[in-house]
Amino acid sequence: MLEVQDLKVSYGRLEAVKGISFTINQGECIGLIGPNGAGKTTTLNAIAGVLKRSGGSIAFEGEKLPNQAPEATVRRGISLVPEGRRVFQGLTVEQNLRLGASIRSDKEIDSDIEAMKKRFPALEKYATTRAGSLSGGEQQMIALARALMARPRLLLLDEPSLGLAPLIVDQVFELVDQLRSEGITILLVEQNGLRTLELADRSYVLQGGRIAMSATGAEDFAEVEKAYFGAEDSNAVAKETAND
Amino acid sequence: MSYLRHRVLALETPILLSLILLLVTFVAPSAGLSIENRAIVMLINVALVVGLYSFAGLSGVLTFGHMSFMGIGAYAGALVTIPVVAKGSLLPDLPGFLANAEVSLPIAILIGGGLAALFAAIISLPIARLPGLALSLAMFAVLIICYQVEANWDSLTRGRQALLGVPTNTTIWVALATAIGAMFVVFAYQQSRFGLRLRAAREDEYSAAATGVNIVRERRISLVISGALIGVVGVVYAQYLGVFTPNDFYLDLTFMTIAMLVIGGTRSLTGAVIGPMLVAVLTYTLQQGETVTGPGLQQVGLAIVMVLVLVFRPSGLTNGKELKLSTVVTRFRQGRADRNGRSSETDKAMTAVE
Repeated sequence: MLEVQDLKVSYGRLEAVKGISFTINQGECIGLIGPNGAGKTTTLNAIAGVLKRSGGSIAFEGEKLPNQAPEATVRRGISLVPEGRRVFQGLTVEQNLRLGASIRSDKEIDSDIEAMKKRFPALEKYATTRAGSLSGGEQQMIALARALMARPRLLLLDEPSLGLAPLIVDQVFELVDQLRSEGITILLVEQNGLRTLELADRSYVLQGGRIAMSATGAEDFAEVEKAYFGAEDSNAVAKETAND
Repeated sequence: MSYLRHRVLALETPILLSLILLLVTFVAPSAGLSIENRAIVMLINVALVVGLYSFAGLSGVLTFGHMSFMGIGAYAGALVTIPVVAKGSLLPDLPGFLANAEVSLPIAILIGGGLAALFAAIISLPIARLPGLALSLAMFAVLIICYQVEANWDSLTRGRQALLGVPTNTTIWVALATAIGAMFVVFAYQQSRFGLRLRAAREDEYSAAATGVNIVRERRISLVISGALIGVVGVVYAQYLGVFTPNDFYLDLTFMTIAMLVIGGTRSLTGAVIGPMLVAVLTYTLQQGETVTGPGLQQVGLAIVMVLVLVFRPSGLTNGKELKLSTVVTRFRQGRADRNGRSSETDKAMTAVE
């Protein structure tokens, strides 16, 4: 469904993603795990078209995605739930949902909004409240519902559990599982390695902008941890070189 | 009936604001000609700042160049309404089609607004692509260009000399209609999906882009709408003044309108309406003071008020809130509930905005 070929992304002279290739099949949930600065979010942003890629190609459902064209990417059926939720704070919950359907012009937008409110009762309760005044967990629900309003076939989730209470984290992972069983393909970026390994069909460990290893389940956790530590070592080396 | 009630409630804010302006329009003439003239200017300023708000407020990008649309509207409107006989002596080198044109105010409004909208559409092609501050500065450059063209195109504008003989069609009722019309147009735009997308980009550009909002396109639409509105206000203002120069649409007005919007609040239509009203009262008071202090008090006082608002209430006096009877009622009920010693469950309802 999604084919990432030798993806490279640079911030100025700094290459954050140094040639990543992987494939996602229809209906899969794929995890991208790794320490801070490994290039996970950058990869996701490049797929979503929010960031410009400096090399490589991305194909979705057999067609190449244009470079840095977020609107076109959403139209193709790829939606991003950004890191840190990033809901439209000053707008109401309902307006946030409506904005999720920015690329749509059909008549089912209103009924979809009602469906989202049924699915996430907090959104129903606070429909006319400013999104910024809700809790982190509730904002995560808004961000998810907003992305679902575009009726995506591939959902890109960037650290959905970040900064949430453990109980809410459980809910989020349950929800991701539910979405997958509904047939939405998912690319999940997480720092929570174990939870991701348990949930995902397959996970890639990113380290220093490259794929260090791939894992299929919780039984690979020991190995994944090693890759994590490896990353920290290489970070230390990078810092030293930078200081020099 | 409930459908009608729903429609009226949805338009609550512009209806309430219109009633306030209507009251001013009724009362002002009885206080003498000088107050009536001030009321006319205030109503025109309301329309102008509402037009400015439809870009700067909704997109969150401040603009220093929107008065160029006003100049275009004013000159276009004046050139097609000045009596043909007068044009013969005032502007002998006018091209034939303009020299022989003499239309009514509504047609002039269409021409002035249309021309300003067309100009906005053309400059929006490069300008809407620019990020925040660059856009603000590019609009300032547009203002300078328009001013220089107006001040030097002698055969069309009489250059720095005043353009005279403009029929004074703008009564207080015309000014009121312009202000109310601008408010309803901008409110409808603000609540539409286009306005919503523009506000989303104001809240968070990254999220808006990731959601599929085409920020450049939305800013372009907003530029054209605000350009058209301000162009119309330009026509109306010129027909109030009767005599004007390019300086009437330059730096002073740019500063005044931005101050009005900032004081009222850049994030709500109510702010864009309340701001000019407060500034009108303030400048009147300061002008009275100028008889004691000498000239300049008005500008200095206004600048100080603007700084005070920026320091103590950065989102302006309305703080992003719209005028709504329902909010006032909720607040009143909550106050009563609190006095009765009950814990308020309406806390979250209070933050409801729309």
